[in-house]
Amino acid sequence: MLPLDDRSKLEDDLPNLTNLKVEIMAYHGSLMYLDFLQEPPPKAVKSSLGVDKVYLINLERRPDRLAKMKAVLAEIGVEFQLVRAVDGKNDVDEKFIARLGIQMMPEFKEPYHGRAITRGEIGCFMSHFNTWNDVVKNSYDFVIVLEDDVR
Amino acid sequence: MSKIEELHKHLKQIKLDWDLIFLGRKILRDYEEAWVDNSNLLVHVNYTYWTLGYMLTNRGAKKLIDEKPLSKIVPVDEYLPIMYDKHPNDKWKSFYQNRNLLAYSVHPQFIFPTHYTGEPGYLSDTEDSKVLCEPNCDQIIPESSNHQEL
Repeated sequence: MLPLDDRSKLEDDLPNLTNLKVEIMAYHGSLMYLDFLQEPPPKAVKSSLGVDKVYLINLERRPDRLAKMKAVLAEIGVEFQLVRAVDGKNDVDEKFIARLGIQMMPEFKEPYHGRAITRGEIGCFMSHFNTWNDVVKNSYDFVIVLEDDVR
Repeated sequence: MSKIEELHKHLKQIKLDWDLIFLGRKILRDYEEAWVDNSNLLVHVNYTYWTLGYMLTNRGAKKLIDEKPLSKIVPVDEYLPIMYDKHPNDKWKSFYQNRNLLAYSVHPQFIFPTHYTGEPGYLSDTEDSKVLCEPNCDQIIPESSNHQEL
């Protein structure tokens, strides 16, 4: 952490400290406080960042990512709604594809490997698509959509 | 993330009409992206690869649904650039009618991926899964995988 210069106030260090903590938490999850710290640091005030909803898309089989994102969002005081991601490995099968009328774009080939769309990519699309539907259904004006692998 | 509040204020100030604002993404190549008029926070977006997070309006959500993308599905990271009409593949674009999503990005980004492809710890949830075959084929074939994610 950079030391403050003459023009800065002590309060200016708080966002710096938060950023540093968030950076660590993005990789290692929650931090523990040492016993001899009598007073725990103040909790951030919860908000939705001025939008109607903050969505966090998380795959159920990645609780590790969720734990980290939860820790980070709590640290910066962001309230969010968890969106259970559609899992390409478990949710997307022939029935699922037929039921939703999913059809591949005829020309689509993934640029690197020239392969067709994967079940995982369909799951990912559906996770976002469901989120968009939720926005319309609830008549939200503004929302934020986050994937669970960000910092 | 009080940066978000700053962004709200800024959007009102410059009276920008928008549907989607990327908060973090991965740009494939170093495209020149022009600043939005009167803004030192927002750029016009070019082709964007890998979406991490975005702010979306109700109108934006409607546009993305009304295009009925499930009947011509592509990965969401391709769908968004198609819908804001900056996808380099004209053939793909031609399947979609109303490519009028008003998209911008904050610059510099507010959020970052925890890992980039190939970095230690990188694990893709989508790339390492089975391939769906052509629409009329009733069978899902596994990807002949010559590459392996970590």
